[in-house]
Amino acid sequence: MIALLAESAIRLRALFRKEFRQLLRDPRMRFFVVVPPLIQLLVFGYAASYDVRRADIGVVDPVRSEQTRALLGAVTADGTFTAFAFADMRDAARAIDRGTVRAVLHFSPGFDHDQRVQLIADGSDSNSALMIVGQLAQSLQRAAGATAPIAIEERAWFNPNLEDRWFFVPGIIATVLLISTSMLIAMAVVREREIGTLERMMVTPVARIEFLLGKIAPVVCIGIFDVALVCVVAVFWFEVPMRCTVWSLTVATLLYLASTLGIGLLISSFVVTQQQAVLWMFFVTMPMILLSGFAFPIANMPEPAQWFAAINPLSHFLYVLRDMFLKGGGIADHAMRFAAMAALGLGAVAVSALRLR
Amino acid sequence: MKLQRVRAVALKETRHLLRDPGSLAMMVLMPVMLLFIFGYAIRLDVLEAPIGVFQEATDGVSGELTAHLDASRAFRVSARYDNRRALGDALQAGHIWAGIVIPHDFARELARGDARIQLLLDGVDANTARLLRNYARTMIGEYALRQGAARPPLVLEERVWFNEARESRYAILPGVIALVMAVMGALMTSLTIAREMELGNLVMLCTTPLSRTEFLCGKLAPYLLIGLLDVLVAAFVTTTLFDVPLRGSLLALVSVSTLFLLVVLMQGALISMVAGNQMLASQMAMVSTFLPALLLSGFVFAVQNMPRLLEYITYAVPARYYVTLCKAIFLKGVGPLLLWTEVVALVAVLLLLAIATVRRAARLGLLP
Repeated sequence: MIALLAESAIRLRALFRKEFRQLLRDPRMRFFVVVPPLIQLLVFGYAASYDVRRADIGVVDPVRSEQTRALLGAVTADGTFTAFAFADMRDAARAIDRGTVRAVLHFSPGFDHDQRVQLIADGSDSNSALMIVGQLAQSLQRAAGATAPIAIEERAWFNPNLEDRWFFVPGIIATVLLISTSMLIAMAVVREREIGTLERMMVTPVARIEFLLGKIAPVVCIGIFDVALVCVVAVFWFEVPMRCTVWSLTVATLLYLASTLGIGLLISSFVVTQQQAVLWMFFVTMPMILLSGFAFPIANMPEPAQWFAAINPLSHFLYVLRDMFLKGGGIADHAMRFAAMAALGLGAVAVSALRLR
Repeated sequence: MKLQRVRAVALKETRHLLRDPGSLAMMVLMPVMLLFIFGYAIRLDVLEAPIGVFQEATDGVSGELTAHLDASRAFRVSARYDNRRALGDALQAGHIWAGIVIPHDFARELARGDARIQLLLDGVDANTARLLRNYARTMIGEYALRQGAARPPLVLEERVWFNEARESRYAILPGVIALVMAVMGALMTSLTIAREMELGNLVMLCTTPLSRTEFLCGKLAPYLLIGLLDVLVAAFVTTTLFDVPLRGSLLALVSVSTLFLLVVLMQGALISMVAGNQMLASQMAMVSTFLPALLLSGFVFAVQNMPRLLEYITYAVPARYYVTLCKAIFLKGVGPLLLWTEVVALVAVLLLLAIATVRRAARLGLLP
């Protein structure tokens, strides 16, 4: 028994060396282990924002009175809105069509008596349109001397400035892991099959489980490396608070890794070419990401999509990640979600190990 | 360049695709799947968000305010708490998305005209929190008006053009087509040349009279057809199943899509040759085409909301121009003629990519 294990250890060592070398031999491949996660992080950290921080707006002001000028000054005062004057509504409409302005403030010709203003927003970006209309309306009314009859004291917990970044950045850990690890493992197995080296492997004394372990080990290392990288940048560059312990983050990551590897292996068990593997990866990961709550809240989705979220390891991991980062939860707070991740991960690995013959 | 030889390569590639009906079906179904996800499952606005209320006093006025909030489409008062602590715990646990504290002297203060209430938001999902905040402000303002507070001084008429129903779906679906094109075009072609290089077939091709432009044209032609099919399927699904209006012309959409497809196919071919193996090519294609098309194109996240530096970077993303064109053709009903700058930019990118691709192809060893 012990002799068998010792032999197996020798084979495993040889396999580990081969797999690590194969994966990291190509300098471009090494580059691609480090750079894409960073690019994703930077782009999401900076680009993914629903908030309107600046917008060009058009102004049609046939009155040009003291009051309209004062209102305009008040609207543009904080630098969010930059106003461009248009002679009439036709010119302004053209600018909206071309996309050069995102909203138009149209003072009525009889503004001095009726105090009417039309606010028009470009609805081809509906979220921004709502935000812009809301902000413009509020600052116009306030500038015109409105006082709120009920003052609202607003406080956002866990994210006082409502930074979209704090919402997106922890989630990137989950998507980066899904995309890179499951893709790498699927490609690594299918590649052997496509080139024909898998058959040669079969005539060696290497057991199936050893072959799988050999494939999994480097990918797990890369995954953990990527998580550490993303965390360091998130905390030190983007200053996202990390209110949980490293220990609970590690446990969650490992459980989730089991699922992503399982998915990759499962795909590799029935595809023949790498092109098919890529297609399948896409077909599986796209709905997983889009329906996970990563960018679009699950609570707004119809029921069937919510059932899917219950069996989607990504949505559990995302929930746990955000909670751990921002609210400081731990394993005990989310025992059910950890159990779900463990079950899904073990299930996926077991099924794929049985299928890969 | 001989058409006959281009046709031979194209035929070979087509056969290759047809031999694998599963993958082919996926290439055609992918747009439909994405459209379904975005059309049915994804909303950016809030409906019936669970909120908690803590009324310090049980008078009628506080109760009325609570009822007023509950009656709105945005909120559902899912729980009432009898102390601040319980409300906070529910917010921490994620049972409610926002909490409202109505102080004990609310009724008296409201009569005097300076009432205050407290709104606590779960800020983890910042966008939802912002939307809830805006809704709460509107609802509370309405309530105050009904209680006889002074009307606000200006009469505002708010209109959202092209999307009067304020459906986030209308704004998102035209962009999904761009996403699909970027994925199908670049990801698929990025693998095709790398595969030949990996399997060593390219060396054999070197001994034939096939020139490199003929090789490239033949390789890309079948994918162009699949891409165009995808555009038509996507346009059909978007307009019939999801009732998004196609206010511009179909011809404009198809011609702009062809232009964009050529760009992504070239991009894929270039990636394929630079990478040389399929694993690397797929990763490169993901990072250089799919992610920019998802994030930097203005598809969900408006380009104008990004920091300036990033906004300048988006000028180098072809999908940005295509998303603008798609949204304009679908929703605004304006054609490529009004948005000629976007078309010119796409043509320029295409020319640059074509030159780079042909130059890089010189290294393949095929005849010039």
